[in-house]
Amino acid sequence: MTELIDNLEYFLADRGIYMLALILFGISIYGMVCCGNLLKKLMCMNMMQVAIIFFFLTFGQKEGATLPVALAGQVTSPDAYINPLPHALMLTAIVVSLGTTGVGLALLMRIKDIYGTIEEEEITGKGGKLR
Amino acid sequence: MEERKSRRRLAAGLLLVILLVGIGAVRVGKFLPTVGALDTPANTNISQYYISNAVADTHAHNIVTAVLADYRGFDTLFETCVMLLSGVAVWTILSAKEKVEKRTDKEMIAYYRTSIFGSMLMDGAFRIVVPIILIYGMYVLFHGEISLGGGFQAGALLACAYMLNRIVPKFDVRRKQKAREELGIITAGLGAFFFALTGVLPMFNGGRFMELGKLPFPAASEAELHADGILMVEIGVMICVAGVIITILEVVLERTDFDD
Repeated sequence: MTELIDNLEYFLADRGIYMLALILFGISIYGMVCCGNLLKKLMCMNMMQVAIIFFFLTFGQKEGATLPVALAGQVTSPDAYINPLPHALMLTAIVVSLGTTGVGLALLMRIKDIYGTIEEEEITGKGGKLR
Repeated sequence: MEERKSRRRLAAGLLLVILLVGIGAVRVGKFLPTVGALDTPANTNISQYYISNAVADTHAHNIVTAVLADYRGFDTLFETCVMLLSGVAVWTILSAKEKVEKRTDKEMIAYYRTSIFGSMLMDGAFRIVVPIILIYGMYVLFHGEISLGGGFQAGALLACAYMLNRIVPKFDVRRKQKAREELGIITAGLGAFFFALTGVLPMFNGGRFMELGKLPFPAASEAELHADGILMVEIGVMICVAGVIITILEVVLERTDFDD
């Protein structure tokens, strides 16, 4: 029993953060498919982007390393600084997620204008004003 | 009723799929590197070059900024263009919607008296906070190279200050409604243009596109030129991001009726 718990602890310490990203991803996929409200779908899409960003950022981690801000002549070994590449890539991903959120909100405003609601059932089913 | 049942079945199926994927990932997840290991593929190849040579190459102490604006400048350039496009897209989508009619000044003041953003204390406090946010935005911009900071964050801060200034009611200033969304998109376009210009300038000096070491400025060394180029890139990104956020905000605000 204790061995099992030890194994679990090692697993969580080694790769547990991937599980967290995966759980976040799963929740957001569930929400994107099952929520009836389009705004909630958009929020779930944002959560999905956050999950992907977390997943990438974990690759940049190094044991015992510090921030990637160095002074000239100070860099002795590259292992002393965490990996700057995922951070740079994810910085752009965050900004793009801002753009997609803006466009999505604009589309939702148009949908609200035309159908009078952003509930999916009311738009596609009987409750909507059009069709 | 039928619909609700089918929806519940869909939800159950989806949960099952997610659970199965999770279990599978736990089973197969051993191929993922251990968190914090030094010998993973992500930590061994080009990132070691970046860390070892970024300061000597570009005089940018923040290696993330060096990667973002110099080594991978193309990525950032087109990503700035994506931002600009998203601003244009929001404007295009919402331009078919009618603008809310402008109230007269008297109505505006009466409206603000009944529904104030926060309270009197909050309004006063936010007015004091706005210039501090502006100063902090500039600080973040110019510290993009030296320490933590950068163009995206500075742009977001500037847009934040603008947004606070916009939604806090002003009783004393006569409101002149100008076409603010056009101004926002023009600002964003200017920022992206400045970024592209930074890329084109080295070509007059015999360099390639985005080869920041050949900028036609007087400087002591090539690394200094790289530092100048990174600062120009950051300024362009900052203007573009701030413009896009302001555009989205203005387009939405002018077409939203808050009496709903």
